[in-house]
Amino acid sequence: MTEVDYKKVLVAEDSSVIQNLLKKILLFENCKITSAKDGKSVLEKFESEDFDLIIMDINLPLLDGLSATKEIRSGKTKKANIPIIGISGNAKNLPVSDFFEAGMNEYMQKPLDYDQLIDLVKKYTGNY
Amino acid sequence: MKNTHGIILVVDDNEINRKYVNTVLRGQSRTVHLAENGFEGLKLASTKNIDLALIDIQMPDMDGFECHNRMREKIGSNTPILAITAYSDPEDRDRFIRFGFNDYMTKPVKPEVLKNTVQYWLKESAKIEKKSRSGAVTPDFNLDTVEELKRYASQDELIELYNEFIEETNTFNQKLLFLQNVNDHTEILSILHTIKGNAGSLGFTKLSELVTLLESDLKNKIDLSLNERIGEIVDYTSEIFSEYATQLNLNL
Repeated sequence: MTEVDYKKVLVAEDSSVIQNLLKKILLFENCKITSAKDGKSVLEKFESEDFDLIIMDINLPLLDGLSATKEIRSGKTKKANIPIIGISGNAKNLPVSDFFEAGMNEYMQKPLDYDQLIDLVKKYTGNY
Repeated sequence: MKNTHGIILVVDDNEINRKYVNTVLRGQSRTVHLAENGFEGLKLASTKNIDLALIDIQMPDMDGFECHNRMREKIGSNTPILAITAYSDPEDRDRFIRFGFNDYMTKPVKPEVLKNTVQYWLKESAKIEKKSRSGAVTPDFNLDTVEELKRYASQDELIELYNEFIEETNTFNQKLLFLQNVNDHTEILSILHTIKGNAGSLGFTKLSELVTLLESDLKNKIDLSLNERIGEIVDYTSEIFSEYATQLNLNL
């Protein structure tokens, strides 16, 4: 397998357990993971590199996942359309429509359903 | 990914709204039934096999709340009922969910948001049905989760993950025991939230549930003996951490 075959996924999640879990699972699906543990570093990494997909937790320190998503979507370049899958334990009991309103393409409630997550990752990276 | 099939019932007294929702949702293996008031909606709910209902809150004669209650009796608790409302007061956020609606949307709803939200709940209701068939008592572990994980990661990787989770949770537990003494509820809530997500995602169903209950009681400021509840979680954790490997068929 050459480097080119990998899809680049930015995982924004402050729990290191979930970070590592996703890293292992997605590597299995030929995705290369970049980790970000807070909303600000998500934006920094998104600006400095090109990704195929973002998996974004809602409950992030410094800048929450909804604000980070809105920030990304407000961009003027093609990059602003990157697929974003939201994941959350929904601590604030937000209506699901808020996630889509912010610009997320999909939303999954924790605990994660791995089959569904992998299906979504495949759908958005075209990795079939 | 294929679209989830679904028969959707829309109850709204405003004709333009009904037409709008119908245009956005119809097609792609979804069927939409329209009702202009609660009575008509209830009639349709008894004759059609509804997968999801969307109810406007502000309606004359029978408002959305009453319609929700009478609809629940007909379609049961596994079928999502979503409210559509013109209210946008953030104070009202929890109100609909506490009343029994699965979710709500605030007007005006963009077409993409409407479609995605309905799609999400159709998928979700398929999951609820699967769960409710598998029994009521919460088991310690969800073996399906672990089996799923095994398909995507090797045994060694899984063991590493579980060890990390256990180590982190033990550290969190020590922090909780400290924080309860200084009454730092914000930090306690943040830790509980992380444990909830981690535990659930690794198949520790009951631990996740215990933590979820405490999180919600603490948030709603329900009178609770915090020290006791945290103690219970810590005890339960050490109990299952000693036996999880066997239970989950992980050969350490």
